[in-house]
Amino acid sequence: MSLLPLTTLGTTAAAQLRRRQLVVISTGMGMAILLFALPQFLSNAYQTKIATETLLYMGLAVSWTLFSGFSGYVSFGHAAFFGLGAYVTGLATQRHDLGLVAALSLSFLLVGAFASAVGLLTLRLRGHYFAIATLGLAEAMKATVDWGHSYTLGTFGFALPIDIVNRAQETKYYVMATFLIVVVAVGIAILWSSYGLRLIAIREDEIAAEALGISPALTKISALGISGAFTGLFGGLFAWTQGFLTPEAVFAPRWSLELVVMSIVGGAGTLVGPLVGGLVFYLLPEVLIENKVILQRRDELYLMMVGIVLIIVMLFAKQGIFGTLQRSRFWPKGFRL
Amino acid sequence: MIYALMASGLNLIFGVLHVLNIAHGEFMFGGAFVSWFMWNELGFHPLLTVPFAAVAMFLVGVVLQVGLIERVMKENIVVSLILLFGVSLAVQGIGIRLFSVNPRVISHYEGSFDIGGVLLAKSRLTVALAAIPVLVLVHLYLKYSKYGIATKATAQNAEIAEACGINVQRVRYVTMGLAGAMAGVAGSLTIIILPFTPQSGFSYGVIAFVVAVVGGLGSFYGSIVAAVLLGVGQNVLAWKTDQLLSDALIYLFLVAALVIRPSGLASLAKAGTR
Amino acid sequence: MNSGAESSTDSGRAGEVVLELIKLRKSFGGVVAVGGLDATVHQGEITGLIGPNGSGKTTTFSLITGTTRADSGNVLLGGEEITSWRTHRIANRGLLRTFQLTRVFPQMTVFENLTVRSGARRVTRESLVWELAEIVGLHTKLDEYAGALSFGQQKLLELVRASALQPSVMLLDEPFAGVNETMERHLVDFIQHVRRERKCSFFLIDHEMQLIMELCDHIYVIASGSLICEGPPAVVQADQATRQAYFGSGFIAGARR
Repeated sequence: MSLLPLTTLGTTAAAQLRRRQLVVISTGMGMAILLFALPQFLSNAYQTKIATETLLYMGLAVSWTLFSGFSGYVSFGHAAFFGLGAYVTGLATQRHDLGLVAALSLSFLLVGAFASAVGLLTLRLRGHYFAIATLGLAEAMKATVDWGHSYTLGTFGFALPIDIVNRAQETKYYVMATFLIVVVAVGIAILWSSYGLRLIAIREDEIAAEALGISPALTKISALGISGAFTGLFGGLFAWTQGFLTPEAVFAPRWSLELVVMSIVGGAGTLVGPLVGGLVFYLLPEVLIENKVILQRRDELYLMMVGIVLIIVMLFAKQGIFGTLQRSRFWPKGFRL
Repeated sequence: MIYALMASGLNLIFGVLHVLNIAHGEFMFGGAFVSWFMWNELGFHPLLTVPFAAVAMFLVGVVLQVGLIERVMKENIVVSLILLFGVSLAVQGIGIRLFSVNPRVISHYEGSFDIGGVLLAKSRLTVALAAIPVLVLVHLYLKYSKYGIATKATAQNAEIAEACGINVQRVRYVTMGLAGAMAGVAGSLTIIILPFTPQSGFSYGVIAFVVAVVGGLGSFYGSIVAAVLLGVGQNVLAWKTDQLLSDALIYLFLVAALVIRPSGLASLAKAGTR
Repeated sequence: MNSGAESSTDSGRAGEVVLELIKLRKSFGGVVAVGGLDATVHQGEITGLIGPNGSGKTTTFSLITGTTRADSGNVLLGGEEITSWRTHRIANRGLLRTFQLTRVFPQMTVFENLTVRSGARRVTRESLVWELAEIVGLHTKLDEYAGALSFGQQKLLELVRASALQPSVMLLDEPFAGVNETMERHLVDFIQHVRRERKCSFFLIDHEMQLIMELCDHIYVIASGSLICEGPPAVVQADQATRQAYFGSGFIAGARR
């Protein structure tokens, strides 16, 4: 039937895929350069601060997607990893006089290990039950931090050492941008690897994946570990950029919820989705505040608007903004981004 | 008891609809403010307002189900969850616009009873006593009425229930309405004890989730038992030791319960009788 | 039935034993699903497992692949004890299965479905998977989402996906159920091809008696979890107990749709 010799069949498909991937990588690099050039165009430190925080949100949403988006196991507990990361960096610098690099590395590693342990315990639960099991996780962490106040400095939180925190807003921006690029790169590497395909296979049909020789436990736990590690890292970066932390702020359930909402509304199971979601959900309200449409993030008008947007997106674009585009017939089939 | 009303409603919804109703707290807010409005503006007795809150929230529940949730029933659970999160945010926004962020409370019952040295606030006692008949009523409904039995059948296997001639769609409407009404009652009772703002509902919703999970998702009775255990346990711990330890222990208990027995207390009971 | 199983080892079945079930037993809450089943699959053979509905066929498969834990008994794959291994470990040792209702990854393309296990890069070098895909005509659909394929095509995809991993034994759970006759022919040809070229043995469940008789070298008949007859197709066809088991349960042998 085919005019091509047998062996080239798969090769052409793979070559086509590689060409598309090259386009994405070069575009991505261009955008990375733009990201680094951005502070030149911002007029004041406040705008740079908003930009930094937007990058943080995007990075967190991507971190969440590394596990939940790809594997389909929705986690409502990422606030636990975020808060723990913030606390590890905070306590390491405050109580143990570690430098920023060491503290952030510690956040990355410890939270990664913690997330893997959580995975080991909870990932036996399939589907809904995993999601529900993670609901109480952040609250449990917060309560633990409150309870261990002699070490964790208690309910009212603490400030990080001034010599660590006291950096130009631009420096913080560049650090944040670097880590966003790192986590996106890791995400692409996973998504385009056979490891990523295995994760997606688990999302699609765990029983079939297992019957093909894929170990669901190993795949899921490692993915949660990677996702948790990056979430912890961004938690540490949050502590550093803010300069102080309280259990109430970093373990707030809203972190978990917002990550889910940003990632799913941006584009469920895609890498671009959380970037779009982070942009829409963090930058948009700030722009509105700047233009005096609303007064603050908890403004009633804003709550109504977000609520209605969520309802509309979920009714008419169930895969989220980018996810729906990727499913449309304009998008090359099987090209994941 | 408030927890029991909330959590058992959540569990009804999860059992029948397989939807995690994150907007459950907003029903509570609705009920609370129907009551507050009738008490404050129209001069009703607080307990008399409860049926009105229930009916109002029943209708809201049905409308929500017909208008929105029904359209995403076939999708992943996350879709309905985010949809309901949207509802929750929108309701909070509208609530603040209408009632501002100031807390409201129905200060009808003053003073407290002294029972064997333990002081019990009159308001709390009234509320606890008022909640019980509601739970009993729901129990009787589920056990004996035609719809109640249809509801249970749908929860167990919707396809077979449908094949047996049950209008599954209507069961879903009624379930959402009923759960909404229960949350509404919970709200109108809560506002008798504690001040309420348009955004309080959400945090009650989160606690209700915890209770529902410990009780066993989808299990009506498990959640009542869990609510009572958690309510009493939390108070005793807070009283005997310090408040912080009690909070930490309860959440750790939750996580442990999930890891050891993901289906909650209800499955423990089942395992016991087997 | 035990004497039957023992005698089969010297009943002229060619090839080494690749899969062996020894006194496999499983009951669900007092109901015996599989009651001490002995069976073997030999190198290069297509072995059938038939029996009325509810006789324990699919449970037997689940016990072999480790999806369900057996109460007692052993499963040997190529002489190696694999009882109570995890499903994925058994799969990696060369025992793969297909499902009664197809289990393709619907939101993945045919290409991704085929490369999910071995990784696209390795597969392009090996090209076996493309050879197999071409035989059944799936190569023209590499960019389609698997969920968009017809049921029969999904069955083919499942078969190709598993065969490309070069298993030593494949368990097929009702490969012919719910497909039309053209597709049935495709499936039969493909199974024969894989057996011939890839030296793979098959163990299959189906209700299509004509096909079973045509395809299988050796057949086990079970009812209520116990072996009631075994042997080459001719022997099984003539067996009184088998006929009774089928007719007794209202099943008409050889009936087509």
